[in-house]
Amino acid sequence: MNPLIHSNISLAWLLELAVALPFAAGLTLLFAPQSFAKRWADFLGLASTLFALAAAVILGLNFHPSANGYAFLSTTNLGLEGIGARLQLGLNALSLPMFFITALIGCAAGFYTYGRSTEDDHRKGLFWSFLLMILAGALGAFASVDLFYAFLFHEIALLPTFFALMLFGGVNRKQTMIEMGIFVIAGSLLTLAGIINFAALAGAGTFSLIELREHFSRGGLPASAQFFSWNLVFWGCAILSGLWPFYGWVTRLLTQLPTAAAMLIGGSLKFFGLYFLLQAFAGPCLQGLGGLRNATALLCVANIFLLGFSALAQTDFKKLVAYAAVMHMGALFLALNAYTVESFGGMAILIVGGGLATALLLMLGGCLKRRLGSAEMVHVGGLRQSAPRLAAFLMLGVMAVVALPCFVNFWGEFLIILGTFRSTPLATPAILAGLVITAVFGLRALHAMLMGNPKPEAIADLTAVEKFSAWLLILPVILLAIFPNIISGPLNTLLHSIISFNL
Amino acid sequence: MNNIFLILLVLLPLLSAVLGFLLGARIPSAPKWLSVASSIGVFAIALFLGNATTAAISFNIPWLEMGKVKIDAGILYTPLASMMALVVAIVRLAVNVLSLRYMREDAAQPRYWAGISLFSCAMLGLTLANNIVTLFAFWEMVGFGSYLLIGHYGTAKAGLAANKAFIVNRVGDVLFLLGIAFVLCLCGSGDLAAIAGNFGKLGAFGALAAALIFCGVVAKSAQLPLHLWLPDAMEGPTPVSALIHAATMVAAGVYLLCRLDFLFTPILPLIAWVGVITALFSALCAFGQNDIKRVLAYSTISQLGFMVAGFGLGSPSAAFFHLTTHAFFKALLFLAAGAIIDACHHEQDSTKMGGLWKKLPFTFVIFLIGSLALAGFPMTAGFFSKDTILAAAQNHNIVIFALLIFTSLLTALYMGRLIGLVFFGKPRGEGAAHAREGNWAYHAPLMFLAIGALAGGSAAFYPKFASGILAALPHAAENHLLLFWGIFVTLCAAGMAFIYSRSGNAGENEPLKKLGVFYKDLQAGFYFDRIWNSTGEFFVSSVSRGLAFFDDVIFRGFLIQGFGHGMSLAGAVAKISFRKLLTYTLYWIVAGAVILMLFTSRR
Repeated sequence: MNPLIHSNISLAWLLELAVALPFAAGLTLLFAPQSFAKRWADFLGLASTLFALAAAVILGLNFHPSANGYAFLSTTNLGLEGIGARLQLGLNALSLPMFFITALIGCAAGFYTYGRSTEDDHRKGLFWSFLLMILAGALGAFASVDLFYAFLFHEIALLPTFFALMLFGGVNRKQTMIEMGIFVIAGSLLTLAGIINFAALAGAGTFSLIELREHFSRGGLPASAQFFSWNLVFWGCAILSGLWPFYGWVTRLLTQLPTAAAMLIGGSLKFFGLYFLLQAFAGPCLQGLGGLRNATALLCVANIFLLGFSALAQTDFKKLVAYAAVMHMGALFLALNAYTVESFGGMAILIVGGGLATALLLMLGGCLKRRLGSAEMVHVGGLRQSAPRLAAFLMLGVMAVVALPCFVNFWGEFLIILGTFRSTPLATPAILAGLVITAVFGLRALHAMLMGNPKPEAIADLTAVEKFSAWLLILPVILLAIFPNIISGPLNTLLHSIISFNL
Repeated sequence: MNNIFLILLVLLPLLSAVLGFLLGARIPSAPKWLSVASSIGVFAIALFLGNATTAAISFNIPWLEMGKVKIDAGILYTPLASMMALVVAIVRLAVNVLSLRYMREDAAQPRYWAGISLFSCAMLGLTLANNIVTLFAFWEMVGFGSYLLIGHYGTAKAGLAANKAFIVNRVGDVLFLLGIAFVLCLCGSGDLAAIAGNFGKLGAFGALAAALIFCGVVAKSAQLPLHLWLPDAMEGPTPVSALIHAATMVAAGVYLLCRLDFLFTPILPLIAWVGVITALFSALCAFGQNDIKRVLAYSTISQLGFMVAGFGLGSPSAAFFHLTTHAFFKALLFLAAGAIIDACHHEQDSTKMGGLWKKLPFTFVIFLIGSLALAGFPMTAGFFSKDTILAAAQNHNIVIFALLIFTSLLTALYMGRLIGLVFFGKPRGEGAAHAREGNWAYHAPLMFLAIGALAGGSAAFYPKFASGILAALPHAAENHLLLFWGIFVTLCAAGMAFIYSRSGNAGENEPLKKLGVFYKDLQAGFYFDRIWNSTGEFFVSSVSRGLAFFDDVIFRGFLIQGFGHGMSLAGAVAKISFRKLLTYTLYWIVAGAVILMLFTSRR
């Protein structure tokens, strides 16, 4: 037997543990007595996030997918097998990068939380508990091969998000909660209906993506069924990912949530919808995509322009980042719409780069807010002199979002541009215009915060812990730009198999 | 072995940049010496390779593969690339040495030096890249290096100039990218050699693709109408202006034209006219400027126009030859201007200078050499290169020839005006009155470049591998008309210098003010800035604020909140708190699904 394959199977426990441990730690902190939580929260929290990151790195280094594209497969029955849902975890070339950035952002958010943690904060345990459960939910959602469980994990991540907003959110949290509630419920219900419909149409009695793929390789769905399934899930995921006009709740959620939670949502969980569509539905439901292709393309173009210009009007840095993050959904959905290997690959790569950069910028926005009480850009100025490290990371983060070539975002945008050009050339100019608009608001923000004379009230530079978190987030973005093959090589193989589903 | 040297050419500055950024905070002098050391290393390697190479070198490393896109990073070392690498190496070395003194009082030196290294890495990468995609990546990095260095002083004005440079270049770059998409999709590969072979596959799209790629050139080489970032870029430190905004980055566009010359065949007339109009337009604008650096900036745009026009006239080697000599004499002029500005205690306004030839005799001679080369005085480097372009025009299109001849007269005249203002008459400002000559750190690099400005017209000046390009050019000295023209314009320039040497003619009493409104237009660069600013203002204030209002008030306020309030009202009637309802719904969407599934599974 091939020792590599053997090691894959033997590492399946690590994947299970990487999801289970943060979840268990989160539950412990939630139900443990306050004295225990207060004393152990920092340790338990940081240790679990570090463990998840270490696991993601080890899994990434040992990633040798088997014939079905997955590695580290394990199946556990948790009582839902009657309807065909089993907790099946595994990683393929698409979910591994998502899993990795989630663990990475989780770890950075953990350090950020650790850095601001104080002795007498009696709600510390509660906050860590929410953070860890969001992390566990997101990790599970990306690691789940079973569609039903992937959805369930996503909801599990959203619940603590909701509570974190309720208990730790900003001044406008009530309104945001209402909006989030409406949109999340609508999006989730549509997605769930789509999943059930999809699995029922397949009639294979399973939600496992591997088994579904095998099933469909023997005979696909009829066109009308594809159309119905695709549109249910697509609109659900569009709402969950915040495509225009369903974006409002995401921008406000990202600004109202406490920073650490916002990093996880904005950097990773927000992309779940897109990931889910590409991973599970793009193959078997291609003809469903065709039906409303022009309409969705129009939404994406509106997304780029309207949100891009809205971003230009923002005076608060955190809001600006939130708008920029949602604006990029336009290019990402256009990539999905283009349906080429290049655009899919570009989308996955841009999610990695964009997610990490968004998380970094949200964190830096949080650092500003912690120091100044607000992230209003007029209150910041001359940071290059007064806080050079903060300024340097702000520049790195913004330049990554702007897709400068030394950041992996460039390869993502580049592949998306090529992919869309090949199949939907009319969409390409919109993406290019988006690149210009991003540069305009990004550089204007940098100008407002970094240049000019420092404001009289001193702004402390990043602490060692904050600097470490920032490095964690930006270093992979740079390294992957220099060695894009690490991610694009395995992706290329997988995406070919997804595309060839319908050829 | 040579392959390793070629990789080192890009890697050395990269290392010095990365180490510089990382170590700068702890060891403030580290980036400086790293940059100087790497510039010496790069110069030595470029010189060695230029002499040791006999045939083009090309090699590839697989980089990125996705679908039909396959990109290999690699190096293509041709005579053209060898010459460009040498130009970059020479100017960077000179700039580095001069900066040792010029930046001595700067508080943010580590950032400056690391930025210079980063820029050099990108510039050399652009020079050597063998794939249009990697070339583009370095092309954008060059723009980023320029952005960092323009904004170096960190004032609000410098920051705006840096933003403008980046954004104008971004506009050109996205069009360039679209052109690349055409090329990649139709030719099937981004490899420069492969594009040359499959160029025919572009068919009817060939002209469109070429025009799009040319848009990138227009932005980077500051051609009309995307030239407007370059005069503002003078906010950066003067040595940076010499390196980036005179000798190398702005020349990258022309270099790209020459490297991909086959691609642009369908649109040569367009290119020629863009170049000619730019050359004439900015030569005129140079008369309206009093800031010594802005005069040189407009002059640079004008000379770049010459190069682009030369290319458009079907003579890439003439364009590239002018690029090379221009790099020497314009870097020389900028660095000499830096020495003057430093000597005058950071005074840049030429109307506040005057009489400097007595106080700065060495700098005066150097500046004169640079100006003569720029004006095309016979037997200087600029004479040979400019006249190959003029000769190409003469054979090709008589209207273009006339315009370029007129522009070369203007060139001499505005330089005469500048020399008159700066060096002759009486000192008109405090700085000029107490000016003092600098030390070796100024003299050595200036002399180094002055040799290039004088002797750069001869093919014998260049390493063997590269000199072939120049040997093939028509020798201008054989053309007596142009020879006499070169002398004539220089005499006119001397007259101009004489007029402006009379101190009464500076500033308030500017003789050109008699031109009235036209002079004001010259000063303002003919409304391009105003159009750019008002467009920006329109989008930033009107469009974006309008959309933000729509987003906040109409969309969120009425639709979403309205829905929410409606539900609350319904909830209040039904005595249920809406918030709790939402919380419960979220619970139940999870739990309910599970229960439902358990229930159905018992079927």
